[in-house]
Amino acid sequence: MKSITLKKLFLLHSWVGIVTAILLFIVCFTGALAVLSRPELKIWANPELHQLSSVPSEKVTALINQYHQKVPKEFGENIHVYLPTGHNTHLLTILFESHEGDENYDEEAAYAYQFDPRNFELVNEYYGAAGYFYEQRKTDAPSFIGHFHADLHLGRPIGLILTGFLGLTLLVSTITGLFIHRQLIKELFTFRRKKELDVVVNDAHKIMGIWGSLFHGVIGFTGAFLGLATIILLPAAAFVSFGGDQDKLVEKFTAMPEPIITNNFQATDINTILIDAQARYPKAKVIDLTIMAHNDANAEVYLRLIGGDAVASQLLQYHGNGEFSKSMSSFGDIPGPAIKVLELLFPLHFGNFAGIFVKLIWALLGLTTALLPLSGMMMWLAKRSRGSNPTLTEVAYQRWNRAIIGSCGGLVLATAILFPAQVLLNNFVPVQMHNDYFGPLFFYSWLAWCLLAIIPINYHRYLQVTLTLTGAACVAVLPLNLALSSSHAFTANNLLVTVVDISFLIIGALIMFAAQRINAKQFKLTEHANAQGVTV
Amino acid sequence: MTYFYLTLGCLLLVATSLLLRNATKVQRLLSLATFVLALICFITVYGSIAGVFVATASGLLIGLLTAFILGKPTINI
Repeated sequence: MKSITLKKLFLLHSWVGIVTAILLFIVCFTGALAVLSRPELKIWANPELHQLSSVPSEKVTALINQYHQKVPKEFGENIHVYLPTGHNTHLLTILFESHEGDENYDEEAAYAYQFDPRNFELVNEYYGAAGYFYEQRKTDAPSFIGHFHADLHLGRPIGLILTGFLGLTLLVSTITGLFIHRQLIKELFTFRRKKELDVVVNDAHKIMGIWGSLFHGVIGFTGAFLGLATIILLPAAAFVSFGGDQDKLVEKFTAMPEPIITNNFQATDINTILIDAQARYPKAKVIDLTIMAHNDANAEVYLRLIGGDAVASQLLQYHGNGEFSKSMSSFGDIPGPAIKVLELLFPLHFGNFAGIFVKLIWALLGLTTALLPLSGMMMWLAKRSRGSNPTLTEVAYQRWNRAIIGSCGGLVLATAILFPAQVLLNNFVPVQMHNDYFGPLFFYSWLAWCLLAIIPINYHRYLQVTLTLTGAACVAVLPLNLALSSSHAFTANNLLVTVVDISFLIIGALIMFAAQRINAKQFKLTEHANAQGVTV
Repeated sequence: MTYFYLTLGCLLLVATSLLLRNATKVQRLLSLATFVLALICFITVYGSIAGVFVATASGLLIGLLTAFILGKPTINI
């Protein structure tokens, strides 16, 4: 490749990275955590789910039949059941929905009933706009982080477009990075950890980029697709094939078409359907059901399954009498290889196709994706502040470093704070009020840490305090749980809760240890520099 | 058996990256062979499509960790 082209690629790689580095870190770091948010961390965060293995199907059937009689007729046409698996709501939720609304609502309206999965007591009742119910669902620390990763809490479509474009920039940076570092094989294992920090960061950036290139590329592409598909691709497809009518396009390709209601009574056999689905796919988990035309001769039941032998989530269709109809992708029963590829994009992005082992790999590789823009930024700054003719003054270099620590380190700290806060909220604040706490706690602690960057303090000290506080927040989770909760690492009788509690302790201790090491290293460097008569 | 295959697969991937680290032609070929064996282990556990994804991602992560822990001070020739 011509050197001039390489130079242009290098410039593109540098500037795309510099412009988007902090945002990329934010999205990638929260993405790495979001991999574990559902169901693992969500189960940990909700004591209602600690002792739960599965909900008895006969109980679900009985509750649907019982509460169907309490709602007006038009609300029985669409019933959504969210099972408390840690993927959706933390309570067993039965939602009776009317697409046309009723005398009080012109939009989609719903009656929702939520039950404690441990004893099936009615905990929450709702009547109103369906959209409002979904928006106001109880959140928790892991769900908050997951939603923040998806749209940065900027709402849709702006948030989705932004994260979608960040996916594209990650893809561009990955491809240009591979062209720049053409000696891939030669640089695969070059890591000079005993050299000065600039060299270490440089080598780390290269090996993380080379080893993770395939992963970063896949995450960038799938992230761009997930962010931009509904905002840009769907309207574009509707414009090309349906004269711009998106509803028509969705209607054509929907996986769950509305059945024709006959008004002839036939009991919908949900119990048999749930038992049959578990018998067919014993390793998979049913996460929700959609029942159309309940107790009608034309009733149809759709079950969404995740896990098991299938890589992507599956949709099972049953007739109301309990007869199995077909298994299809979540996009519906559309033939062709394109749809197979399309349905793989979701598990490839979320890493939810083969259990906790894959999720851990996705989370760790995701952390390297987050560290890439950060290390790239450090290289860019170091290059401009060193040498015989630096373009960045020492003061400006310090300011840049504080800005990075304030924004990126502040995000890590704000995220870590959410977990001990979750334990405190579970024990001191009524569940209905939890949603009011996460947003302010997260954004104000992050903002406060960013504002601290304005004060001209030593950035090494700033980094050390950031890491120490982050580690302390993680370490606090287990003792707080032990002191306040009845269901914690040693009593929960749930391996997942034990592992999560102890993992927080270990991760927190490691972060605090790293904070001390950074300080010790800097102290040694300063001593060495002083001996040579140089100011660091 | 799942844990056995997963452990074996991971050990083979460690061997793959250690062989690749030494960078002679024979060792590179051997590393390819060990990777294929690891791939078979993961396919046995997760099936053909998921197995390939898991083996590739695990290989990348183990390679990266090997590079961090046993990184070379000089560039390979």
